[in-house]
Amino acid sequence: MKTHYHNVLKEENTTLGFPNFKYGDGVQKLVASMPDDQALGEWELHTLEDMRWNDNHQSPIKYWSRDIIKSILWLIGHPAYAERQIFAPQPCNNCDTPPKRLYTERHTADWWWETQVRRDTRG
Amino acid sequence: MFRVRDTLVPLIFMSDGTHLSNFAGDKKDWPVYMTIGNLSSKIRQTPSTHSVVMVALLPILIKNLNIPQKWLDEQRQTNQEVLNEVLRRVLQPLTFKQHPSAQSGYYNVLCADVNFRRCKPVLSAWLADCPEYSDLHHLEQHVCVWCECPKNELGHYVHPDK
Repeated sequence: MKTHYHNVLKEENTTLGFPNFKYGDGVQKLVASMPDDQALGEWELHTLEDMRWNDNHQSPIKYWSRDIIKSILWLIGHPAYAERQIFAPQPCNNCDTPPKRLYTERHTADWWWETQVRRDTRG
Repeated sequence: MFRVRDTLVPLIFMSDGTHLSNFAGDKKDWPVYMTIGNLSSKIRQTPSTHSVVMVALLPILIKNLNIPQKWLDEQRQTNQEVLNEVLRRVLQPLTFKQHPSAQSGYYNVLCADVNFRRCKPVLSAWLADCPEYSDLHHLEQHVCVWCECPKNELGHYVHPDK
């Protein structure tokens, strides 16, 4: 059954050169063609040229990966997570008397404080 | 070195070998996932927020079953070298041995609250189960990664105060 959406997509296909939405591949291409700071890195197939498993397995060793830095930028800059992002450590206590220290989140524990703040004061 | 107003980005990695098929060639996958500690745990632990990104698919290591005994040590050594090399290349952007300048490792990032911050990504945690750790660290099977507890006493923890 053809819907109005089909026609819209068809027009966009012809005028704007959009990739085809009939297959998942087209969506992936569209997402990958977004501006750099908004897209996850594309998958790349890498080959270890100078390494072999052993004499019986001579085929080159391959693995897939994507750019870590792009993924980090994507995660930090994503508007959906804006309300729940933390950029500084903050020790946190619960409502008990006497209050007890909470270690449930990454920013309420000690490691972040020691890495970011104590080194600040040391210079 | 961190300066005042720098922001730490703790990276959390997760990896686990995943069994895909039993009778069609023993297919396996070995994905590595990544998320950042700046997100609160409520978001990180909700799968529908898609806050965990898959960053790599590691190569499946050769099985040691069909390998003669005298080549076994060499094969294990090769497996370890391949795994080290792949992980080194994947985590390459976080290491700055070539250019150890003051600016290296820092990125000016547009954060979600429309502020630019000077961020430094740091690998802070690698979550995996016990067999996965022994694969990654190239240890013997069923040995504790963190302490020197003997194999047969795992699970019999006695607190030192008691």
